[in-house]
Amino acid sequence: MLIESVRLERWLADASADATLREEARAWSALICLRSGAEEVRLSFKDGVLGKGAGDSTPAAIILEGDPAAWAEVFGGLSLNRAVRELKIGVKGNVREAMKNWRTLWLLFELAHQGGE
Amino acid sequence: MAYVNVRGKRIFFEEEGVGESLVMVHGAGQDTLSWRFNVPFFSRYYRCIAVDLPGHGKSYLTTAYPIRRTEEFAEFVAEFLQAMGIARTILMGHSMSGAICLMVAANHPEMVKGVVCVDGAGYTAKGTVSYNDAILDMAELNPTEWFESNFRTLCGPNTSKERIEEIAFDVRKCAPEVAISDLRAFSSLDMRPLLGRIRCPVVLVAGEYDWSVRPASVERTGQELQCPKELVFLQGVGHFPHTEQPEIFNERVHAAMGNLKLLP
Repeated sequence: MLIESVRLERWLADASADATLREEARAWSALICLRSGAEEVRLSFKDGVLGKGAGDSTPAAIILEGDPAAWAEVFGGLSLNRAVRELKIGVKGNVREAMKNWRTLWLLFELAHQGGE
Repeated sequence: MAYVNVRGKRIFFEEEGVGESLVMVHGAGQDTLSWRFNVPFFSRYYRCIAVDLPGHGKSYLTTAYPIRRTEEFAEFVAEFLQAMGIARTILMGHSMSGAICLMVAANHPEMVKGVVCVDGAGYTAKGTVSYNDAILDMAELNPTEWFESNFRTLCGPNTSKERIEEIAFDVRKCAPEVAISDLRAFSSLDMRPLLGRIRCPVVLVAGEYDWSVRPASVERTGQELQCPKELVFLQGVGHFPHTEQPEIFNERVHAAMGNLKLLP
């Protein structure tokens, strides 16, 4: 499993309550897909608020892909940068959009670490 | 203000202390500020000179484009020493500049009395520092935020939140084209064939939690050096031991320099 639903809910709540992340993402709208094989978790940013993304066929702007073990490491505390550099998580789709907003993505995943505590 | 001309361009340096010189060279994306907790300590023993590499801090570029190769940085450091009238010195370099200082020692042995290589290694090409062309191309789209998030997560668990914020803030000031050029230099370095040529003493510093230049890479560099050397392993710190835990860094490095007869 990519992420447990309880943990996802906690992450969404933490991200939406985090003032720094809200400020970072204030003007950003994006559909982000976390992928592991056939499993996907879609997230959307709109006006600084993180929510569950559309589950339809809308193409995700940003795809972060890794196997379940890699995701377990990321949600367990491995930084997104290190996961990418160690080729555990790949950045696909609109890579330019991902990189232009990298600090926001990084902050988002830092909150994912806290979500499990 | 302290500037010197190298290749006709303005190069900034900070100087404190008297006597034998210790020239300090910052790492990728940084500037002289990265030595702010170390100069007050080492200037009790040395004439400390911290330099801004071309394009960093208050130094102008010495070439049309930011330097992208470690070899060019090493030649710059040698030219800087000449411009300063320093015939022979101890070099202290961090990360990318740890290798730069080792390279100066290999290529200009008459100019270097000793090297302190802080979280640097003789081989940081793509395989060992987890970079490949795709990731470098990706980082080039936004090197500022890539560097900042890397730096934040490269600090050790004992480093205060305030200190991490300082390190992150400082790297954001580097021009993006300079930052990515540093990254290209760092991730293409392989000076293993040169390591055996180094004859001066070398202090190697490794941070326990450094996942970029890992302690194992530092140890391997030490194994390939044929000169007197000492490894300083610092627990609880990451890639920036001199900034994360400067008191411990200063004392341990000073002691190692003493062991290698590098004290004045």
